[in-house]
Amino acid sequence: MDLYLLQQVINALSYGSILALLAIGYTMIYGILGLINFAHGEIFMIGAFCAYLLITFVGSPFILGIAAAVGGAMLIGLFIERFIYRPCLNRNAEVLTVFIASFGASLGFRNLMTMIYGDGRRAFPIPPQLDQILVTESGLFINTKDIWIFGVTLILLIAVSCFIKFSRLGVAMRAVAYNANAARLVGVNSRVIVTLAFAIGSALAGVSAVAYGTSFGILNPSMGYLAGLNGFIAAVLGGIGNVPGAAIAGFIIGLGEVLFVGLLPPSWSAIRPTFVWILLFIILFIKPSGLFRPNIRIE
Amino acid sequence: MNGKIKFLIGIIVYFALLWLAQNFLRDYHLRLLIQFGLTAIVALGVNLTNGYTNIFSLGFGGTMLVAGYTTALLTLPVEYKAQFLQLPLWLEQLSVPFPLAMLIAGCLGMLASIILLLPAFRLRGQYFILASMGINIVVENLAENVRWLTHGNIGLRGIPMYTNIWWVFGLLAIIFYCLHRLMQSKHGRALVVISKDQELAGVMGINVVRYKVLSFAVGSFISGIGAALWCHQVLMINPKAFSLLYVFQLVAMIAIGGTGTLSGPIIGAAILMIGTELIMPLQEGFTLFGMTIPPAFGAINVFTAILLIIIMIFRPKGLMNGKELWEHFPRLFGLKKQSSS
Amino acid sequence: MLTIQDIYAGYDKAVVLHGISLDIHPNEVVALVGPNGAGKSTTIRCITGEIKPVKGDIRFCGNSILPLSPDKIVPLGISCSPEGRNIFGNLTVFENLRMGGFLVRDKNVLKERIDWIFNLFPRLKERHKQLAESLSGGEQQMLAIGRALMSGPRLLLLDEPSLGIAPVIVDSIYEKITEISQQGTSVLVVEQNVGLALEIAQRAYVMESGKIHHSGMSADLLNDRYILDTYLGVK
Repeated sequence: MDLYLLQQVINALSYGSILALLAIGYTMIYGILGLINFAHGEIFMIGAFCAYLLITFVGSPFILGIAAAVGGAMLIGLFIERFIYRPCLNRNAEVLTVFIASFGASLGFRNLMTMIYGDGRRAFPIPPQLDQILVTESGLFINTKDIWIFGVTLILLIAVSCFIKFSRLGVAMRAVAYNANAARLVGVNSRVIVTLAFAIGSALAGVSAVAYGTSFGILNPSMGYLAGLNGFIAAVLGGIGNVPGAAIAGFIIGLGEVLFVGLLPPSWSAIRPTFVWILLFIILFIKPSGLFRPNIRIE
Repeated sequence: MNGKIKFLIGIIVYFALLWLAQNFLRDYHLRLLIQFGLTAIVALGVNLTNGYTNIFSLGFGGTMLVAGYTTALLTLPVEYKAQFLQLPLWLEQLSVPFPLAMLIAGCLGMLASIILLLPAFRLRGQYFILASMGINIVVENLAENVRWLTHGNIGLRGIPMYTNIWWVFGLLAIIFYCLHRLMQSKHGRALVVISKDQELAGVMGINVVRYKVLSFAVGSFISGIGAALWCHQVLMINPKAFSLLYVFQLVAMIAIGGTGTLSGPIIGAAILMIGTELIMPLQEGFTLFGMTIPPAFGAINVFTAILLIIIMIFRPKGLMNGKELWEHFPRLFGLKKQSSS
Repeated sequence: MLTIQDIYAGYDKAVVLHGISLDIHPNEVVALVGPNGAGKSTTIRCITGEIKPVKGDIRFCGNSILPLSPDKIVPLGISCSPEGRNIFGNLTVFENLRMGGFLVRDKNVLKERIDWIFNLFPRLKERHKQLAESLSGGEQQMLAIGRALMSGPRLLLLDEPSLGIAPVIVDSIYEKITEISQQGTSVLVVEQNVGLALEIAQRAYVMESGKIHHSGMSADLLNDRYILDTYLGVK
């Protein structure tokens, strides 16, 4: 492979990882509730802030920062589920109503953080031992943090995929996504499954947030918004409800964006946001259900 | 006969109130009132598609941007265009009167929405929402980068001031009346059937695609006019003018006021604008009993969000709950209590 | 074992059931028959807890199950193969069965039951790795019954097991239902196909317009002129 191309692929690893981890949360929740959890990007953002606050102001080790991100994101995710979506769903609201509520949650949390921290960028603390550049003999530049991010992501993706594929609750999640009523008739409490989906999705968003901070070195209250949209696009491209599909699509989008910037003349890179959407439109017009098989009932 | 007289009196009172506002309100409040009026126009347009026809589209920000740039380019002074933009000569020299510019803006907005959204009709449910959101981002991104036409991120400034209370509230009244008539006609009922059940509508012999396009065309024409009015009030336009945040706020207004009604979006707009005014001091920081409360940016949006969530939980159809204001309070509007048609 | 006492139930404001009462005793196959729209499926859905009756009571082994949600009724020993089968098309046959035994924690029990079901329906064993939606209608029905059996029910509810299935396969499925009941499970089978249901059931209830019109031993009902004329079209 061309050295330049290979370098671009390496550069895309961590961005792809971030999107892949985010996409899983969208795809799980959409699969089970039929709902775009618009606030997922904000769960991600709050995760990043939890890690940032703990590491920068308390001075805790990086690993505790990761734990804080995961914990904070899970807490917010479960809070949103319990106090915003569930009351809506309990009143038999239409999905659109819940979607608008998720809009509200997104707007609310993003601006709440802006109220508290202002919307300026802050520097995410990256441990120096993670941030080293290796040069291979052939002249490739590899940043160790990208390798770490990719490695951790890969392990998590495999773990989650195995959980979905083989475990009792994982099978139940897929069953609920396909037919929630039939799942109740075999004794599945769908509330538990919904809570589980939110917990797993939010936890992964927390990891993704740390990856984002480590990779780009910055965070701000609106970071979740663009990253979240791209994560959701990945979820759709991967076939809604299909966890490995979402992860693969996340990498495809990450790689696509990096190659778009890397291969085309620099004047094109300003329309990078457009590129993702054009990619989405093209794929949806060719295959309206996404690249891989959706894991929901197709009516 | 009686009804006609009441209608006339209503119109006279409406314009008398406008005259009073024009002459006795302070500048600041007058501007707020105008802002409210044009937001209400946009909300009515969006509600036609998102509320009545139940095609939840977030793409209207994009089409409004098209309309806004159109009216700006048609009315900006020739010297300004020559200095900052690289336009073809005919466009550079073109200068049209405000009403015509507004009309063209509405039509181009309509055209843009049909061209951009028609392909997306293939997509179902929330995929459509996603695609429509993408259209927003794509148009915004293009506006940032097609510099010869849009002047990039800086946007166009110095748009002549044409919008005033008469234009805004005159158009609001006309649009309101037209939409009211539309919704009572067979076309309006067709839209409502489509919103309830598309397949049923198809079986009933309603041309679903035609009506969806119609609803989109009329809706985006109205919001395009709103965008044009906005430009001639704020006197500038840039790619972020109708960004997703604006789209969110509009959706919130409609959802809070009540989707699928004519009075709902207007009431929603009023609530959010009044709320914004009340919370503005908090956002800018103020002094209370000698204590300085620091500014808290985003307080307004937090307020919007909380209100929106509460309404969605306890009154999913919005405050109006599917009925018009005058159906809630028939006495107040001098109507006899009648079953809603 | 199961006693339904005078229930009234329906959807939103439309009442479908007007005072249904029926009993199912242990080790019995009971048929609930009647024309389309009589309220048979609604009755089933009341038992599974999907619909809450507005009046009346449903007792299982002496305890009222009215306040329980469907996922709390399954562990008591009531299991249902719903109308239209409703299998999980995105799961494999094996995973479908495993979902049937979702509440069974003991791995050995799970394995025993799966073996038993594969014995009952060897077709399922052949296809255990296939996605359920790729099965034929008859195989899907077998899978739905198998899935319902996985929780080890004392009462099995079968909603229209013959719907849209080739007659040959219907016969073999009905044979299996008899076999299942002989192993100690009570069965309530809902059918439009009256003749078929009466063949395997000891007792039957005949429903029409939300009420029980006749009830009695299957043999007696089969000799009843009215039943024969109305439902079996025998002159």
